[in-house]
Amino acid sequence: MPGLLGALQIGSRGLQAHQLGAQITGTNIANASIPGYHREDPWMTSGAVYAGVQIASVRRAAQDYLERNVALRTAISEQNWARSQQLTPLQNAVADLGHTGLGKTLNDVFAGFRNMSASSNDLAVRSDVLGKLQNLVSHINNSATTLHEQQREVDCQIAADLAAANTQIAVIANLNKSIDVVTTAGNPAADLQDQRDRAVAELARMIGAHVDVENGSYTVSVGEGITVVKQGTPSFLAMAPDPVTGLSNIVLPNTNLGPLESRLSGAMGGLVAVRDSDIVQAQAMLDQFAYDTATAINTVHAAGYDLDGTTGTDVFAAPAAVQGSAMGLRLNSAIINNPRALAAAQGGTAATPLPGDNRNAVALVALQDQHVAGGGNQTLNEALGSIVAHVGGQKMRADSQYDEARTLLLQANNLREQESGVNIEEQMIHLTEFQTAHAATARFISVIDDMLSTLLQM
Amino acid sequence: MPMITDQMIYNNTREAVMNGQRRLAEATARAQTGLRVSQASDDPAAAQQSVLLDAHLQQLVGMKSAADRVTTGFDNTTRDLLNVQQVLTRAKELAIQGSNETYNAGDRAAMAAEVAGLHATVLATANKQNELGEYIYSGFLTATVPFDAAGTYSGDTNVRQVEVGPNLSVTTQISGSQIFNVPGGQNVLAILQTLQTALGANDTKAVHAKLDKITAATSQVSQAQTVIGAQESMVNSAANTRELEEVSLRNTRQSSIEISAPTAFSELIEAEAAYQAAITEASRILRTLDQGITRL
Repeated sequence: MPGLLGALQIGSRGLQAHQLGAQITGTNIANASIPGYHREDPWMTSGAVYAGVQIASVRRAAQDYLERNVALRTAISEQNWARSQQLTPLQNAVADLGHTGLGKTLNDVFAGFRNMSASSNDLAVRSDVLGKLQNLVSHINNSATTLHEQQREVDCQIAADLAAANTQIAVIANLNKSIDVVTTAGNPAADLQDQRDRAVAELARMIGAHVDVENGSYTVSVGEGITVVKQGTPSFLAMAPDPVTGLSNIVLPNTNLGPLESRLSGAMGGLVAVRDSDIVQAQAMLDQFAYDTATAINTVHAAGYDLDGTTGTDVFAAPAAVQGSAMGLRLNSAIINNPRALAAAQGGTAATPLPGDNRNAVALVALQDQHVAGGGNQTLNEALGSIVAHVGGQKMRADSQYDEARTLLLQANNLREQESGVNIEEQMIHLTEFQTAHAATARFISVIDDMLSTLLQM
Repeated sequence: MPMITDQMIYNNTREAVMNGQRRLAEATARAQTGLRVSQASDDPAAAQQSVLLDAHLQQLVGMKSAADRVTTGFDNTTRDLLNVQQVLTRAKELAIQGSNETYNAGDRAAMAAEVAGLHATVLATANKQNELGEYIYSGFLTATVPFDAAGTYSGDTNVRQVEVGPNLSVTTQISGSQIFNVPGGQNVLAILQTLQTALGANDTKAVHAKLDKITAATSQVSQAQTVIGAQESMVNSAANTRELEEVSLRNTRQSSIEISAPTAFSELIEAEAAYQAAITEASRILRTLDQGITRL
């Protein structure tokens, strides 16, 4: 039997236990709105016989598989968001449906040819045609430049994000070391563990992250098995310029893994998809369109005769190849500011030009309905429509995938919250429990104290 | 029992409100623009179709413009041909009078002077220029004076064709070789010139011999009017075709990328109601949470 002094010890341990319980509950309440905070639950046990109560452990409410699920869903959501965001300016550059779109500019050129067919000798009409042709060239150039600049900007963003990701890799490695030190000394490391989980979540958001837990230490891998953190050792990713494109590849130094960017998820994965696939496809389609337009118009125009009986003149500087046609498209210097050089006729000589001959202008008008694009399967407007549908479809799918990913992320977060989150009302009830128990224990101590005083006065 | 945390409630509430906001913004944009498809990603197939529809609609506008210009040209040519016919009618009257023995040399000299004036009128008409200085009746050689005083033609026989309707082209003018000096036909200017000469020479037989030629020339000009008339009919027919096609294209465009005002505003009202409901519900939930904590 413990006696009165033993009873005081029981009271003392009780006060400490309930104070600690209230403190833990207060911490839970204070951190309830902190993203990634894991609730701590004090486990109280009664000690040996007549030993009172003690807090056996403070359990951190966390389940590894739920954490991994959130990391995975975060990576997918961010990947789709990043891609969706970048596809908006891309769509505006090449698939604008409005009055400033490429379709309107192309149609204006053919409207100009049509006016010239009705009035082939009118220099004002011819000058207008030149203006519309220049507008088309400028529009295509600007679209190509926009795509090129967007690709470069995304490349810069990738570099910046990689630097930030490496920072998180370093943070996780350091926290692995710190947690190991603290837990080896037998102390709780909940705060450090929460910090580490937040760093992993941030890394997942940026480039995707998978975590394996070994003896309390995180081994973090990205891109299907590329280890970037093992215990306290980080492996930083690096940028290396591609020898062909000049864009940045992501590599793991001192390995022979090669470019890794296509294996990454997270926002980086979305940016890489835009840089290396979406923009490249749009550039290729725009180049093909520019090439087909220039080639088709040149072919008809060169066969015609201008107001001075000259033949064989191209409208556009002939593109050497499909690649680069859009950015390199230019009007032939022979026709710039020279409306007489437009070949509206199909006959005539230098001595006897045919100013009233409009047959070649009619042929230029007819081009709009001929299959001169898409390998001979499409008109120019149909080719443009294909570009619009392709880019619009990519954006629509990205938006849809983002909506779906966001819903799944919300579900994953809710599942984790169920396991690890804080219900304030529940904590308030716990607080009341500890408060009541503390008050009762204090009363017990007071009674024991009275009893001791009585003994001492005997 | 699964626990519901405050963070879950906040997350779900925030998500519902943001979704409501987004749908409201989209419905507002549709109501303001009248477009169901304002960017390609709204409906890629409809967007693709709109590129082609807009191209066709602009083609029809161009065809109408060409048709209007052609019609103006036809009106001018018709007036010219009527003038020429009136000249030939007067020439015939003078030839009939001049072949009548009751008139004397002095009378015939006066008739010759009038025929000279008629000749000048026809020559001016045959060598008429438009506002750009093009000779209208020269074929493709619009910088070349088509006729000399003797009616020798220096133009060519080509005529411009322009598209005025879907797959429908018309000639925009008739060449001088179809009116004033038709190969195997009559040389109107030469006829007037020789009539003038015969009247000036007081040669009644020669004057009388011109009557058949004047009649044939009048018929020749009438034939040219018929050609113009046929082209005008085609232009009018093209107008009907264009209008029908334009209506069809606009209906297709409307159904694929536009949205009717009643539908747009109905969707807007629905989105507003849903958004208000989300806000109200969020407010209620947050108030309940707050009250629960306060009571505890």
